[in-house]
Amino acid sequence: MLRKFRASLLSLLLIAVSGFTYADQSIELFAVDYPPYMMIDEQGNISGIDVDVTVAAFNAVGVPVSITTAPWKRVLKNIQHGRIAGALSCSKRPDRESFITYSDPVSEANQVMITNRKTTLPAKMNFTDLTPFSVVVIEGWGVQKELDREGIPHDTVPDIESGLNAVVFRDVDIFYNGELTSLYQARQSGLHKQIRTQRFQGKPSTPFHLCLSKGFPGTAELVEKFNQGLKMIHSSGEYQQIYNRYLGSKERG
Amino acid sequence: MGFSFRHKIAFKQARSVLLISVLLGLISTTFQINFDLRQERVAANLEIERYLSLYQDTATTAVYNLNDQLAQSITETLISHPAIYEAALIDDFGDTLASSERAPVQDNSLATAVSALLFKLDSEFIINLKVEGSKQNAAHLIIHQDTQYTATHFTRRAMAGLLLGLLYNVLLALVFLILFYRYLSKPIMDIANWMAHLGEGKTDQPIPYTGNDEIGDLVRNFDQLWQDRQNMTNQLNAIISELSRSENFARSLMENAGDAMFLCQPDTTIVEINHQALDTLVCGKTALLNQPLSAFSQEYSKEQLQSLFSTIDDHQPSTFEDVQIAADGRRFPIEARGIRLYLEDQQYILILARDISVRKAAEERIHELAFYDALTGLANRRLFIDRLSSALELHTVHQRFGAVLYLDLDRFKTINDSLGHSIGDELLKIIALRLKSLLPDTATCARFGGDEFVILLPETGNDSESSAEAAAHLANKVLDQMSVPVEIDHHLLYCTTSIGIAMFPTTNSPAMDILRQADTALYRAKALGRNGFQFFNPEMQSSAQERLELEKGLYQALENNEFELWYQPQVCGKNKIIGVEVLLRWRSPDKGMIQPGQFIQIAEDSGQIVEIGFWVLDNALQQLNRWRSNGLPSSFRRMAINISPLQFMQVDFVDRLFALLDRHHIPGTLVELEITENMLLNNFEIASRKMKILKQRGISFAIDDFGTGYSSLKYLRYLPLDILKIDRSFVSGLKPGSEAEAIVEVIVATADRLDLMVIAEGVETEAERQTLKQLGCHCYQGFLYHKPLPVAQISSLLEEQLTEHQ
Repeated sequence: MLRKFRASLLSLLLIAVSGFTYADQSIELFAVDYPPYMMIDEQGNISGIDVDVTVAAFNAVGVPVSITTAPWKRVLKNIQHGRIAGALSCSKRPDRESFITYSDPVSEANQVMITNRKTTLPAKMNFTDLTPFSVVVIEGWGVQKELDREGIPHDTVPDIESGLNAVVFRDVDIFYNGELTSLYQARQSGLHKQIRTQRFQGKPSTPFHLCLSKGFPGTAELVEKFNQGLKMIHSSGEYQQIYNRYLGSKERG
Repeated sequence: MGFSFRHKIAFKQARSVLLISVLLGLISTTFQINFDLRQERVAANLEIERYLSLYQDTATTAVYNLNDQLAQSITETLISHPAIYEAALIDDFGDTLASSERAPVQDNSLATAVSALLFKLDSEFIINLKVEGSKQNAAHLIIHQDTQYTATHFTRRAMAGLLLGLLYNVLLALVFLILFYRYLSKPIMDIANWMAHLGEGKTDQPIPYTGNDEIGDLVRNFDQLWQDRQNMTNQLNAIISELSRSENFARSLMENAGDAMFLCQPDTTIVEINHQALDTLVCGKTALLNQPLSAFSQEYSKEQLQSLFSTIDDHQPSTFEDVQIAADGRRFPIEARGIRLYLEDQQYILILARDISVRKAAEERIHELAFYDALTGLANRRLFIDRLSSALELHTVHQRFGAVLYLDLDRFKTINDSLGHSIGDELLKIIALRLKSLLPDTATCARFGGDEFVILLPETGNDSESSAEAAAHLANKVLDQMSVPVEIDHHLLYCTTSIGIAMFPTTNSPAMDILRQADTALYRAKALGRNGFQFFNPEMQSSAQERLELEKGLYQALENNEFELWYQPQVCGKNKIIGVEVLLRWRSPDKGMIQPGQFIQIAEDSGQIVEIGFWVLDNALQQLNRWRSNGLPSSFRRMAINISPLQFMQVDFVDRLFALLDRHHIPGTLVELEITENMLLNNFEIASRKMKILKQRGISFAIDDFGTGYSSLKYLRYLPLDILKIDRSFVSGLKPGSEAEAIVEVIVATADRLDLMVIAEGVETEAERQTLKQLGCHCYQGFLYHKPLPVAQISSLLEEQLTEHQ
């Protein structure tokens, strides 16, 4: 009880201290179209798992936040120059360390094998075990670089939907792509019942963080508040509700 | 007639065309290039700008997305444009997103360098790209234009235009050369040859050019003219030979004429003469030609002769007389006849001059015989009557006076009869000479025949008295001169004369009456004992006689101390003497006391007044000094002394007066000079100057007899006057309501306004004094108070007043 009170008091204090910074103006954060984490429809409405989580976390600590979009390179460069507060959902990379303060993980990404439900794969597969299979990957994405790096033969498709179609309707064994992204797209295309995902043995997932610019004023306080809000929605169950809303409870995992 | 090719018209024309077209081509090309240069410069910049605008949006997108591949492709595409050698895309963070470049065109030719210099293109273009959402620096698309490329491109075009133009001009000149030679030079050379043959007399040559154009027209007209000229020449030759005969005839007539002939231009310049003219003027033809005729004329100047020429017409000869001067200085009278001639559309005046020396001499002789006495050379009766009549007419108009003196030698008949006519004639000649020597230039002396001489003095004076005196004066001189014995042929002849004098004009007397009056007076003189003169008018006789005597007496009067000074007191108020007027008296041993009115005018006429005047000043000032020593009444102001105009105008008047004042120790303030209006009238400037000098010494001035002359207010205003004296003519019988009263009133009022003192002269009755007093005049001089007094009496009077006031 006392701890709760302390936590509440701390929260209030933090709100009070940073209130003068954030109460009057909302924090503008940037997102790119990366379903289902971040989605931008034709009207420019922004939604997605990470978007909703971020907004909910900030709302939980009383910090107004607005989400807008820009090209990813521009977003990163703006962060690097301290021109914007930050962007949501980026993974940690050594070259970003110098100018980004990461929050606690907001979501995570797993590069998985998407196959036709009818396709049977060995239960436990390492990444290098892909070689005998026919594999497609989206042209130019990081996953293709990964395959190239490992010397795994593959074909490319222009987008996720093409990848899904390749495993459902063609003789492609594996569509190597992000798990949640692919599931979300399959759900959108009505193919979610004809596919399944399988993770690699020993391949860690990639956590996504709220990335805040070190050069932007008040970043340290903001990260702290966000992490606090994130904890709050985790514990309140709102976090899970958001996931369910986008992916449904069954598909995840 | 062969010309070298470069002297042919065709070549000259073609060369001119080439030069002019090249020059004009160069000028126009220069303008064109300059214009193109401007256009090219604008176009080049516009092209670059347009080209860049095509990529502006793509570049903006590349920057927005920070898409370096797209950016690179844009910059590479940009430098593919030949005028762009460097392009760069800078993002809004200042980083170079992409850049591309290539080597610019290298062209080191001078023309390109000049073009590049003239172009002044903007080598760097920077286009700002607006990046959405970027609040910081804008992004830029930067390109560098290859000005060398544009200049090279332009230079090639310009050079090509220039060379084409030059080629065009050369071809044009060549075409013109051929055309000019074919249609101009060749026909002209043919025509020139044809004309040369005509000149050599080869008239059978066919016409060299029959074209129906200007040259053909020229040739036909020339041919026609040539034919006409041939005919005309033949006719002219015939006429010339005819004229030659005619001119010889005319010249022969002119040369053999007895009169001198001068053919002159209207401005009198001599253009032709005959032998007679050369003979009479004794000089060569070259010395005469182109000289004005007036150069040989005594009577006419060039202008006068020109004026005379202008009156001469071409129908009726005009005649005039002149005296011509020959080269040897001989002068001879001519009678000239002039007529206006028209020769070859020029006007001339032909003068025919005939020497009329003989005729003139004869005329002169006739004149002498008609108007002069042959023996003595004096005028004869006719001439004398003529001149007397003229003098009478003139004098009647101008109110001048003259005199006629009729002389007769007293014993001439005896001399003539006893010694013969030749002695008598000689005597008459000598008498005539003596008379002429005595007479003024204006006088006329005539001999009427025998021993009768008559003298006309046309102007002797302004009034009859002075005129009579002058006549008497001359008569006396004639009598004196005649009394000198004459020696002729060892005979010493004593001869006296009697003179009768008639004055004119009298009432409408004609000349003959005047002569008769003089003759009558002559007989009276002879009757009264000869060797004397008599006036026709007895009053004049006595008047003239008296004046002569007075003038003579005046010379002695000063020497013999016959003058006396009397003094008439001037009083103011109740008999207070404020001054005295000095009056001159002449106590003649023969005539007793003579009043100034009788001799002053004579003294003025003879000039004696100057010395008499200074005698008066000297004595009067001496007397005043004595009175001062004895003491003067306190009311005494000044001693008034009359000054004659002649004396006042003497150059040394002021000096002499100052010397006298100094000598007698008299201050100027005690002296009053009385001057007359007449003096001021004639010599205003000099009088004014002298008066101002004298005024500085304190001397006062009174206008004597004010009101009787012009009474000009100018004197009163500009001269330093102190006193006005009212003339006795206004005072005598002055009573209220009279005209004189009005005049006196005006004088007093004027003096009052000008702050002048007024003294009335000639106050004789109490009534006059009362009237004067009522009119405002309070100072008087006249018998009512005191008559002029001799020095003893006036001295006593002054002493009395001195005692009274003490």
